[in-house]
Amino acid sequence: MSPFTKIGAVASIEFRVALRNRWLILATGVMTLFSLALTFSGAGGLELKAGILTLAAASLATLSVYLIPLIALLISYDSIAGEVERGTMALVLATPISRGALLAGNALGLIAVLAIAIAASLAISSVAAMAVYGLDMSGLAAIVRLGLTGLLLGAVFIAIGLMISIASPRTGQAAAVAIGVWLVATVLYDLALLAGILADKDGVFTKALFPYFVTANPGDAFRIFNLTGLQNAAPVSGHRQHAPLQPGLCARRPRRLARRSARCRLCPDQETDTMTRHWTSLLTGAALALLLASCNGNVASAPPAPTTMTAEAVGHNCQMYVLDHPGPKAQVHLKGMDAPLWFAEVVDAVAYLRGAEHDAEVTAVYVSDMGKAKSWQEPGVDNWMKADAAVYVIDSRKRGGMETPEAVPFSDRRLADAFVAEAGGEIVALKDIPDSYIKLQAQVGMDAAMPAAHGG
Amino acid sequence: MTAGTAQNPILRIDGVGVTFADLKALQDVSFTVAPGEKLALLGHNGAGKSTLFKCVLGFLKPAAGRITVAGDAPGSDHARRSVSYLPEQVAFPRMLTGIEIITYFARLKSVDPREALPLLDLLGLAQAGRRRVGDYSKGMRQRLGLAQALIGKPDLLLLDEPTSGLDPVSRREFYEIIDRVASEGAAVLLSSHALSEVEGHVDRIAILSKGRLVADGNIKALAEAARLPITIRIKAREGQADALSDRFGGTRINGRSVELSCEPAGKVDLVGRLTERREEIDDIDIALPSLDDIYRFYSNRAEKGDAA
Repeated sequence: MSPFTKIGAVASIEFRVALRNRWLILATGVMTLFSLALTFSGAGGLELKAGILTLAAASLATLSVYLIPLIALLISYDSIAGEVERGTMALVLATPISRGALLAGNALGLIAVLAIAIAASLAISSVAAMAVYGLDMSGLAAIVRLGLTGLLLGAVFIAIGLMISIASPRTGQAAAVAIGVWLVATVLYDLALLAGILADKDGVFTKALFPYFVTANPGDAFRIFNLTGLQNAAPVSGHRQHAPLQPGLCARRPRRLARRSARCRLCPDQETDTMTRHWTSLLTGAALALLLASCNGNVASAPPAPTTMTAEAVGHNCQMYVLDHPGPKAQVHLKGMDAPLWFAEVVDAVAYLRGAEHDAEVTAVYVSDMGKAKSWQEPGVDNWMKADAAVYVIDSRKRGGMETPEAVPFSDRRLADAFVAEAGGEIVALKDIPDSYIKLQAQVGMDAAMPAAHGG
Repeated sequence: MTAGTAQNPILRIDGVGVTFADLKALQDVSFTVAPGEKLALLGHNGAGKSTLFKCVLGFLKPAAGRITVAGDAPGSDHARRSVSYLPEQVAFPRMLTGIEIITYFARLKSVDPREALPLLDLLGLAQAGRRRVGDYSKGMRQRLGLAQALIGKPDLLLLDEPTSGLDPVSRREFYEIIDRVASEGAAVLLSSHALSEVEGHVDRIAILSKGRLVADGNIKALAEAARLPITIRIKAREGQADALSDRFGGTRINGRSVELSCEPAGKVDLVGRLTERREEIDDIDIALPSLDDIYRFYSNRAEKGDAA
């Protein structure tokens, strides 16, 4: 009999043991639960029928980075160390099977377990999603690709798990090392890279080393491969960090939905990602959730960067779409919140800042640099500057987004002068905008502007 | 020490020494086992039996000496195909059934599982074959272990304390199977910590003490060589105990009994002299040295030799 027969015998036994120990059913159950939850929460009231699976694939790619390595390590760490500890290994080693064949058989059996778990969970959630939302062939291709690369990711971590199992004299120690490896590979590694980028903005690390470090981590490589693939296939991503790349999906979302939503001032697009992280947190415990939140969210101490304005941005005061209104805009970042508060007018933001009713500590304020704006009608979506670095033109003839007297921000004083020459008014610093000017606009805004704006 | 007499031993152990840190686990151990021969390796816990087994299986490399299994080095493919092993605490994945385990090991040994499965019948596990090993009793697990070891008719069976924990009936059945396998030409090397356990079941015994081989031969020859004294207890009639004690010496016990001891060679002579005084004697009890006495004699002699 060839060595393959022996490898097959070992693989089949390993598979049966995993089956009887309920590992297979557990892994399949957990994966199915998560993929169903993500598929349908990702759809969340979406009227868009095509692309349901593409959406799901994006969310699943993010989740799989955590879940697949975890399952792979959990089913493999005990494999060798456990057999040694329970005394079943000596008997096997006394038979004429080479250690290489034994190892290959173990790995194959475990990969089969993972393959079934991945295939079953993706199949169940895909069929369920298509039963509800209709066929989505391109999305199906994305799911298949996700499954295959997910298996590859799992195989890498099964190999790591087996290495841990071989090197550990006891299963307890193997378990501890496996969890440590999982933490490092899926969470701490990314955190360290993020810290590296923050410490070394545009330096050698960021430009030359970072891409290699990212792709060296199997989990990150998997995520990048799948998300960039999706980016090419459809304008969607479940991952908030890719927000600038995904305007299409947001724009197609029905507005009334967002308006009714309790979280309307946050970008609704983030619901998918928030959900992903929520489930992951449930899985890994509160301590880990903290780490993940800081990983995906803002790193403490460094002020948050300005957020690109999307069609989804809703004014903090009036709950209307900021982009629908002309003139300079403002965004105020609060501690502990992923998304900024949006203001359709700069004076609104100033009023908010000077008022007492802050939801949380203000971490950053950005305003549209009108010197870089295309026009008054299109103030721009990412020409943001720090509010206290700008000069402001007040009392000009230009009216703000809510038809009220506006404070128009410029980074370049000469462009501000040019604006004054054209539209009148005077140039002041942020702190020198009079309270009376703010109050004035507030009254006008409530009385006159709101009904008009609702009409548009 | 007498060595194995066969011309072509299946197992040859020649001057083997193993050292762990500063502990000499085995020192200059030599013996052979021939096809069809049953040899019991005796020794206290820690005497080096399991270490020697590990060397024969190729798990451990001796620092000194040489071992060959069927002419090849331990651990080589040919050696592993020739030897079957039953560990002291045999364990199988609890979730698998007896049939699955026999099938698995048959494949590992390149034997057609259909040829191996009848071994379950042979060991009385036909009914239990479809049950999970986790539900087996200790005796059933041990029998499954032996079934596993018998797959593919190995040339050498290596059984580490195979009958410990078995009830007397299972033990006898166990040795019946061993006898049958040996009669078909397999060499059997089994370890035990008590000579009385293996008496009548093996052809030869070898005694390990503190890593050294202190005896090798059949039980009768070893008992004779030990020249252990025979104990004769005489129960005297009323009032005759003092007279007997004066005549034969020995120790007075319980008022009416006298205990004598003599060399094996002097046994017949002493009994003859006792029968001359039969009117004074109520009863005679002759106690030969027990197997455990013989075992203790060889073990202790080695230890005394160590101290000297």
